[in-house]
Order: sequence, then structure tokens, then C-alpha cells
Amino acid sequence: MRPRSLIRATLAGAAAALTASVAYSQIPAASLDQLAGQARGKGPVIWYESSPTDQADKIAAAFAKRFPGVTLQHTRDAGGAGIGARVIQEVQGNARTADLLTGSASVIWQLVNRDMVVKQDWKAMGVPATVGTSPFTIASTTAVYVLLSNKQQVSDAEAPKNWDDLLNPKWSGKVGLWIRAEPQLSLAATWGEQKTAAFIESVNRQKPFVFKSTFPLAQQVGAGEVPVGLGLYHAAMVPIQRGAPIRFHFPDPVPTTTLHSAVIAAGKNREGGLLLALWLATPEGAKVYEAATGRGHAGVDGTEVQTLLAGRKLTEFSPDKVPDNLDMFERFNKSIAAGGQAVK
Amino acid sequence: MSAAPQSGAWSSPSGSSGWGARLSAAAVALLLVYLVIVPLVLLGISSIRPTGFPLEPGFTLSNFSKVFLAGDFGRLLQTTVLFALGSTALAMALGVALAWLVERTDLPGRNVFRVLVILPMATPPVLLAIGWAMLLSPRTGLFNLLLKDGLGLSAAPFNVYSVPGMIFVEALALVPTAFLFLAPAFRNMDPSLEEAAIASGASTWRLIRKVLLPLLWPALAACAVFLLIVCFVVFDIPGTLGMPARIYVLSTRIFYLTADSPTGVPLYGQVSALGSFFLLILAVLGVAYFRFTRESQRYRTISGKGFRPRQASLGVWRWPAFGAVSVYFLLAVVAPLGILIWASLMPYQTRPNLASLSLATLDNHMDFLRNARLITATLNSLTIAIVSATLVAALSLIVSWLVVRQRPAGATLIDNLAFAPIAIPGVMLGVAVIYVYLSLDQVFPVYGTIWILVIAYVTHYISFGSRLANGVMVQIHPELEEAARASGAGGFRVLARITAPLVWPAVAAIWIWVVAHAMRELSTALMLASRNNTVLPTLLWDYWTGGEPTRAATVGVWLVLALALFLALWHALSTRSASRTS
Amino acid sequence: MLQVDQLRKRYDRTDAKAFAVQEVSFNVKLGEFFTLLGPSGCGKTTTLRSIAGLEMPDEREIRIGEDTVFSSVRGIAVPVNRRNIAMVFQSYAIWPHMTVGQNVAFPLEAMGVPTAEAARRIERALEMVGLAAFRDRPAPMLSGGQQQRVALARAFVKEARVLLLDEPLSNLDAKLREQMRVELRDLQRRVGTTAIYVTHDQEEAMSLSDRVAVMNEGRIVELAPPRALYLRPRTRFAAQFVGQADLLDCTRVGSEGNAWIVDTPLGRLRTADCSDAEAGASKTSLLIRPEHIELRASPENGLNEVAGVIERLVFSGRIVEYIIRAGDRLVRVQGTSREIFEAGRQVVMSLPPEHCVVVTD
Repeated sequence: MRPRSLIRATLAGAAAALTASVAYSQIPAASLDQLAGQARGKGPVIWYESSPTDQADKIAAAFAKRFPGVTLQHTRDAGGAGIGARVIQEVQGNARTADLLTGSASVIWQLVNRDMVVKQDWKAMGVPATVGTSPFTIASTTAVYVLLSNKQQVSDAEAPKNWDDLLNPKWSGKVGLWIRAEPQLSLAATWGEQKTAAFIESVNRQKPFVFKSTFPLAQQVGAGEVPVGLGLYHAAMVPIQRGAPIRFHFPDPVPTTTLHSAVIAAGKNREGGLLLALWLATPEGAKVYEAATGRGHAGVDGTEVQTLLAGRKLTEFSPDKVPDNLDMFERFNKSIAAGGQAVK
Repeated sequence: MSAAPQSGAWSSPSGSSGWGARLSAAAVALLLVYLVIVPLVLLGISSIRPTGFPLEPGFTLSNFSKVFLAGDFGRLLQTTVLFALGSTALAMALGVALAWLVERTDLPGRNVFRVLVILPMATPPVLLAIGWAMLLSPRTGLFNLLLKDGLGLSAAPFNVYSVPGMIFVEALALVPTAFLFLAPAFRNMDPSLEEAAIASGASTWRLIRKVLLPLLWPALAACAVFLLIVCFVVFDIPGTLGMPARIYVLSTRIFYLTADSPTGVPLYGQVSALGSFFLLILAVLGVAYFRFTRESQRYRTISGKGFRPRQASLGVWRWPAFGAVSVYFLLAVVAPLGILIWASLMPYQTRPNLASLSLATLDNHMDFLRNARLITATLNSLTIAIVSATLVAALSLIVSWLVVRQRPAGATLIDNLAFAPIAIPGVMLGVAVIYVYLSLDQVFPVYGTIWILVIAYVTHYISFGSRLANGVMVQIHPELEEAARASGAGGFRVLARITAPLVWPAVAAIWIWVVAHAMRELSTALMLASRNNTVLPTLLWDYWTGGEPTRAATVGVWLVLALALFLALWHALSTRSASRTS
Repeated sequence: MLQVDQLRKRYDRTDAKAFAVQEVSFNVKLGEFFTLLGPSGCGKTTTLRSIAGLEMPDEREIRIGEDTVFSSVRGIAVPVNRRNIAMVFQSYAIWPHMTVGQNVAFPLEAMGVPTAEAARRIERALEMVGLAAFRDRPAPMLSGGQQQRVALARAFVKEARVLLLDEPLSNLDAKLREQMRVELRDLQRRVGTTAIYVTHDQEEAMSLSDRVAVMNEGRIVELAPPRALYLRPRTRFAAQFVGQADLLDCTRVGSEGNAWIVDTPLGRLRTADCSDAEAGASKTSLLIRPEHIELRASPENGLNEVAGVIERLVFSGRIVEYIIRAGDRLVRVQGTSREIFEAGRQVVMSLPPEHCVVVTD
């Protein structure tokens, strides 16, 4: 394993907050096509990512249309951290593995530590530093956290619009939370650990309902079992689009979790992997991804999420802070799980 | 009964049952050992690796200390034990009652009930939990609202997000398994034993206590031990119903370590440490089980004296019993299936009430049937289920015969190995299987195919199969086989003509159980998922984590339908052989 | 036909001292009905199962006909299915999933007998036991006695050289048992098979057998034809096992021809012919069976006459049982209803010398 300082040095330069759009020079289409040419003879591009398969099918179809002759083969991971483990196991077992992996920074960091990721020069390819977050990673999509409430049970006036609204005694026993403290971790990038920890404990005093995933959280808000909650935007969009009575508000600051992509050194079609990663960071690719999965790229022009977040303050740690924050993340997780008894 | 010296009735002298049969059985035992040892060894290695990945270097005991010395371990254990004991007790009580009523009395409609009991087994437990949440959640649960309005209460009487709630739903999920364990044992009882007790003036309660329970003890004990372990390891129901109320069990910890670990990889090392703990509990329970059932001569209920399984007449209790059983089925089968069907007709999760009826649509079902991957997923599911079930049934029968009848050196070890996989957390089983078949990819290219799932399932389900087969094998009087050998039959003929037909009900039960579980199994299928081995539960998972529990419910409904078809087949086969023996 | 030579089997391999069977030897002639009789745990079943091949003894040899089926010396152990024996089990072991006919047919199938001949033999076997009409009946739908007969038919159909029976009648009620006893003996005589029978019921052993071997604690205590065993037992154990016995400690004080004169707690008595008794036997007892003691109102000839008082009597119809006090001893006497003596009466017991047998312990 590499020493931490080296990692920090190599993961330098990522922005702590992605603010509103940065107009950046397009990655030249020509260079993408050139890359496609290299990827063409090397078999399918294997992509490990966590979207449902029928959503990924749509992305694959658009990709094939844009780059004829290059097939995208998506494999869905088992949930959470499993996707990195799968790559590690396959590399160690000398089996065919992903060409590109899209996941959270901590997952990719585990692969970087094991020398399994290809280093890239994003700048030379025309990718701005805010998107090419490190020599190993490129931002691919942004998960955005929102405050949810049930339209039938909660009036517009009462609906939580900012953080302190969650602490309203009216919502005692009626707040839904994700058991994973991702939004809270991102919040700590702006508030600092102490304030965030205190906030978590205050919410805990509301005796919240804890969910193992943000999707059932959103669905339960829609069903009215849990009138308010802190959830994920694209998870809430699913029932909303089907007609569920859910409204959402962006708090201030808005916590985000960026998912990054990394090209796997052991992949058989690394060119194809790189191609996909770059394409997802173009307006065209990002829009395809957003249309398919509901999850947009806040750092790319023209995506819905970028429009939604225009002018808002976002909060998230840069990827190089991942190793530093492990303990804090763990503490936050334990605090939510224990319901207020923060374990140091 | 002629006195047999201690070694007499059990030991089988070398050579007297045919070398062919014994060698084949030994080969099968070796296969079993291979299947089970591999994940066990990997579990052990993983637990002492700092990163938890078996192939990465280092040695540490910190995984154990992180797990067992964590401040909340005691509380987790306590909740888990409470949950396990409660669910097992309730499931056994219901299972015994149903098995007795269906197999040994003249309950009206018992043939239909026999099939209906098994039906809930088709539903993935996560859906069962969701279904019951929709019925009994404190604010919007249908039953709660009906009771609250109907009885004029100030608050809903039931909260499913509680330990009793978890126990209730888990017990309902386990009753089919308990029934399959116990029904063959009930069916095989010699009524002359009961008749003797009744003739001597025993009341029914006395009959149960002094005659029936002691004779059924091996099957009851095997069932209880199995269910206890399952309750320790299982996650879906306690996770779905406990987590929202912050009720955590040991498997919640495993889920966290696997899926939510902040480090970016699953903490396999700690998962393995917990897995070793489960194995320890299993070992303790297993020793207790062996000790209590060692005097197995007492439990021989299938004797060559021939029998007509006695139908107890319920008399004046006949229709009340029918009513009670019907109520059970309404709760255990109709209600959750009904709510699943409801959910499958909804565009998004809503409170079940008349207003929502207007939203009803067949869209989910149509989308499901039009899903491009449906045919492949169904074929894969069916193939995996049928192959796994057949292999498990055959393996269980042979291993059980070897362990119970032949008792070679190492029989106890083999029996323990056959039981062990149930205690291995599903994620570690997946990891183990991945590692082995990645390394063996040149020789056995099963990684990424449906066959790796078959291997994982056979390994996992042999636990159930061997317990059930043992429970019934022990009931068969060895003189039935000795008579066959004394008549000149060699090992294979004895096994095929005498033993197999007599254990047939157990074999059929194993088969259907594995089919149902293989068709609905989710977590291992996900771990080993690739393009080529999508199965129906994976589709369910897509919908579920795609945020569409209504679509997930749709898949659940179709899974139940598929199993219902299998059940019809099973019922036909098992009642046909039952009529031959009664 | 059957030779058992110095059979020995330990209870379990770890304990070198505890034997289930030790130094058991006997020969059985062709056509003989030979019984192993003894209490629970005496080793009779282990011996039978060793002959069958269902258990493996530790030593020495078993020969059936010309074949050695077991030899610890020569390392031979023929598996049970190749010993050409037939066995009837205590639990009958009728297969519940087959019909009567299928049960009986099984051994012939295992032997590969062609169908036509098999059908004939099955028919004959069923007729022998009187169950020809039941051939297609499912096995569980039979009474206990009928199942017993199916087991017999299945054994006989094989026409094996040796028939082994492990307490086959003990699960039947008393009346049926007596009936089956007669049928069994007839069957065996008709077919002429050599039969080895195991039981703990001495009446059964006596009525069925040509010779009886009384076993206790793994050894054969005495081996003799039934009559000799009953009237002239050699050992105390056998004497008590095969019938009711009054036993008195005795010491030899003299002889009269072949008979002995012995001192007993009842006085000096003359015994039966003791020419084959051991001269220097350590402890001896005098045996007389209660039914052989005559009760008289007054002494007649003074030979083996003992005075006593009737303490109590039990009248059970055919038999009247008396307990008679003579000195400080109580003696059991069995009389008939021809002449009944009342309690409290003074009587004289006559112990016919020919029925006073000396037994060793």
C-alpha cells in the first residue's frame, strides 16, 4: 500500500466545492473518434457501475450509436462497496475484469492503492481540473441530497426547506434518514465535524426512521408512512415521476456525492474505458446518462441537475480527503445507527 | 425387542453392504467435503487478513477484536438471540400444529392445506417484509387502520417495526420449512405406538407428551437447530423491519460491513470473524443435537411391522380446527400475497385504501412480461433451481445413508460438514466461490455462468437437505435393510429398492424446498452476477434498488405463480408415494 | 450343517475386557431345530447375527455347510447377502411400500431367478403359510400374525440352507403365539431346513427345539435336548431358567450305587443317578421341580420324606401352588386340583429321588 502523503500529492487539485457551471472547452470530438478507433478491435468495453440494467441498456444504446463498432457491456454491482472488491478479486484471480469502474471515491482509492488504476493526463485531453479530479479519477455523475416531504400530509408552508426545519418537534418520530451518513459527511466539508456531529445528534433526538437505502426512503415518504426525510434526488424522482405526492427542497448548503470513474489497468479494452469516461463528461454523454438514470453531472453544461443547482452552494469533500475522513465517516455512521449516542 | 449390545445395532461390519455402494458413497462424501471445506477455509483465512482479502498478505487478529470488542456487540447478540429464539419457537409451534393436523388427522381440506402451507416459500423474504410493513406499519398499515377505525382506538394496535414484529414475520416465513421438516416425520409414525398409549387410557395431552414428542424428537431437534441458525444469519426480514426502528441484529452488522463500509471495500475480514462466530454457535447446537439424539434406536418409527398411519378423528373439533387453520392461511398466505398483488398494481408505493384503487394499473405486469431479459432470466432461474434441487436431494440422501447407516470413521465429521454451510454468511460463500473458480477458470470455466450459482446453492442448501434426510433416515428401522441384505440383495439394490422409497417423502420435500429457495435467492445471485447468469431475483433487485418496489412486487407475484406450478407437481408425486405406504 | 467355533466378540473395540459373546461353540446338524435361549443381554442375538453376517465377530470361525463364511484366522468374512441364509426378524421387517407378493419375491429378484420359476416358488411359499389369497395386498394392511407369515414365506422362498429366526413370535399375543409355534415347527419339519432360533421364552424353546443352548453373559451355559435340559440340568442357572426350581444347598456325604446321599437344609436326601456329575465340583445344589414333589397326609416309606406345614396356597384352577414351611426353609410345591390341602395343615413332602438332581453353580 502506498503511504498516504503520496496519495495526497497525486490526488491534488480537486475542488472542494463544485459551484455553478464552469464553461470549459469541449473535448475535441475528433480525439474521441480517434480513441474509438483504437477501442474498436478490442472486444466489448466492460463497465462496472451501479445503475439498474435497463437504465444501463439505454446508455449502451446511445453509446453504440455515437461510436459505431464499440460495444458497451454493463455489469451491475451488488451494492455499495462490492464493486471495487469484485475488481480486486478478479485482478488477483487473473480473470477478465472491468475496463472502467464508476463508483465513489473511496472505492476507487482502494484500487489506486493496489496499483490497479491507469494514470491519465486529463488536461491534455481537454478535461478541466474540476472534472478531472485527480490523475486517476474523472467525475462522472453527482448524487444530490434533498429534503423530502409528503404533499398530502405536509403543507407547503410546513415543508422542511432547510436543515433546521428537520428539528421541528412536529416531525418527532416522522423523519426518514439513510443509515449511511453520506449527506452528513459532505455537509461536514462546510460545517466542520463538530457542528455536523451536533446536528446529527439533534436529528437523532427526533427519533428518525432509518432506511438501508434511499429508494425505500423516498417510497415511504410517498406512501405517507414517513412524512419527511433527507433523501437522494434521483431516488425521489422515480416515485415522483409515477405520480407520488412528494415534494423536495434543496437545503443550504446542498450536500453532494460525486461518483468518479477510473480506468482499470488490467482491463482488456482500456481505450474503450477511457472513451466512455470522457464521453460521460461531455454534455452529450452526461445528458444521456442523466436521462437514463436520473442522476446528472453537476459539473457539465446543459444537464438538468446543473440547472437545478444553479446559484446554490454545494458542499462535498474532495477525493483526496477520503483517507482522512474515514474515521469521521465511521463516527457519523455509528451515531445515526445508535440513535444519538455518538461513539467516539 | 431383543437386546442388542451397544455395538450391535449400529455398527455395520466391513464388507457386508457391498463395496460398490460404500465406495460410491465415500466419493460423494468427498465431493461434499470439497464443496464445504473450500468456503470454510477461505472464511478462516479472510478473518486473519488485515484487508480481509484472502490473497493479500498479512496476519492479524484485529478483525476479531473489532467485531467482538465493539461496544454494541453484546446488545446485538442479545437482540439476535431473542429474535432467533422467538422466531424459532413460534415457527415450530405453528409447524408442529400444521404438520399434525394435515398428516395425522381428518382435517377437512387437508390435501389443499398441505400445498398451501408451502406457497409462501416462493416469496423472497424482503418482499414478505415489505408486504407485512404495508399491512402493519404503525401509521399506514392496512390492518392497523382497519382495527383502529373498527375498534375506535386512539392509536394503531400493532407496530411491525419492532422485535415482536420481526419475530412474527420471520416465523411466518419459516413455517414452510418447519412443515417440510416435520410432515415426513409425522407421516411415518407407527400408530400402534399411539394406540397403545390411548388403550392404556392416556389423555391426548399425555399422549402428546409421553409418546409423540419423544418419538418425533430427532426431527423436532433437527428442525429447531436448523431454524435457530437460520435466524442468526438471516437479514432481509430483521433488516427491513428492524432497521427503521434501529433494532439491529448480527446480520445487520454484516450488511453494514459489506455494503456500507466507509472504506470503499467490504470488510470481509470482519464479516468472516462474525461468520466464525456463527459457525461456533452451530457447532455448539450441533453437539447438543447429536447428544440428544444418540439413542436413536428409540426413534425408529418406520418399522417392518407395517402400519396404517392412524388418522386421529378430531370429532367435535373438526370444524373449529378447520377455522383455525383457515385463519392461519389468511394471515400467512393470503394477506401477504394479496398485498403483493396490490402493490404490483400500483404505480408507486401507496397506502392500501379505496382511494388508491383508482390508480390500479396493469403496467407493471405488462412491462415485466415485455422485459427483454425475462425469458433468459426465467430459463436461468428454472435451470439453476431444478439442477440444484436434484443435486441436493441426491447428495443429501447418499450422505445421510452413509452417516446414519454405515457410520464409517469420520461419519460425524462429514455430517457436521454437511450442516456447516448454513452458518456461513452468504457474502462469504459468494467470495469463496468467486476465488476458487477464478483460480480454476482454465479447468472449470464456470465463473460468470449459471453453474457457479449452482455450485454456491448446492453448497448452501445441502445443510437443509442433510438435516431433513437424517431426520427421516433415523426413523427407518435398520432391520428393513438388513432383511433385504439377508435376502441376498447387494448395496445398490438395497438403497434403490428399500431405502430410497422409504425416504421418498423426505427427498420430495428437499427437492421442493431447494427449488423455492433457489428461485428466490438474491444476495449470492447478485455477487456472482454477470451478463450471462441473470435470474429472476436479479430483476427484482433491479426494480427494488431502482426505487420501484411495486415492480419488485410484480416479480414476486410471478415467482409465487411459478412455485405454485412446481408445488402442484410435487404434491402429485408425494401423495402418490404416500398412498403406496399407507 | 452349521459349525460355530470359539466365537468371540467384544462390546466395543476400546474395552478389551467386556465381551458380548465368548467361547461360544456348537454344531448344528442338517434339519435340526436349534435354539439359543437366555435372558436379555446374554449374547444370543449377537451370535445369531454373527452367523447371519450382520455383525462381525472378533474371533474365530463360522462354517455353513462346506463354506467357511467367517474366519478370523484366515481373514475371511463373507458379506451377508452371499451367505445363502434366510432370516426372520423380530420386527418382521416387512417392507411397507410393497405388496405381500413383492415382499416374498424380493429374494428371488436379488438372486436373479427367472420370472416363471420365481412365480411358482412364490405361489408355493404363500400357500405354505396360508396367504395365497393375499398376494396383491399392500403389506401394511395385514395383521401382526399375517405379517409374521409373510416374513416366513419370504424366508422359505429362498430355499436357503440355514434359517435364522430372531425372536419372531415375541410381538404376537399369547394365543397367536402358540398357534404360530405349531405352524412354524410343522413348516420347518416339512421343508427340512436347518433352523437356528433365538428366544428368551423357555416354553417356546422347549416346545420347538431339538436342542437348546442356554446362554448367559456371553457364554453357553448348557446345551442339551429339551427334556434332558428340564429334567436333568447340570447347572443352577439353566435349571432356574427353564422352569421353576426349588434349590437347596447340599453336601455329599455318601453314595448308594450311582446315586449320592447329600445333606440339605431339609435333611438327608437321596439323589438321582449322578454318574455324570463332577466328582470334585465346588458348590453343588440339589434341584427339585415343584411339580415333582408329592404331598401326603402322612409319611409312607421314609425315603426323601420331609415334614412341613402349609403356609399358604394359591388356587389358580389347573394348578395349586403351595408354600410349605419345613424347619426354617420355605419350599414351593405345585399340585393339581385332584387333592387340595388347606393352609395350616401338616403335610409330608415326598421328593422322589429320581427327580432330585445335583447341579453345580
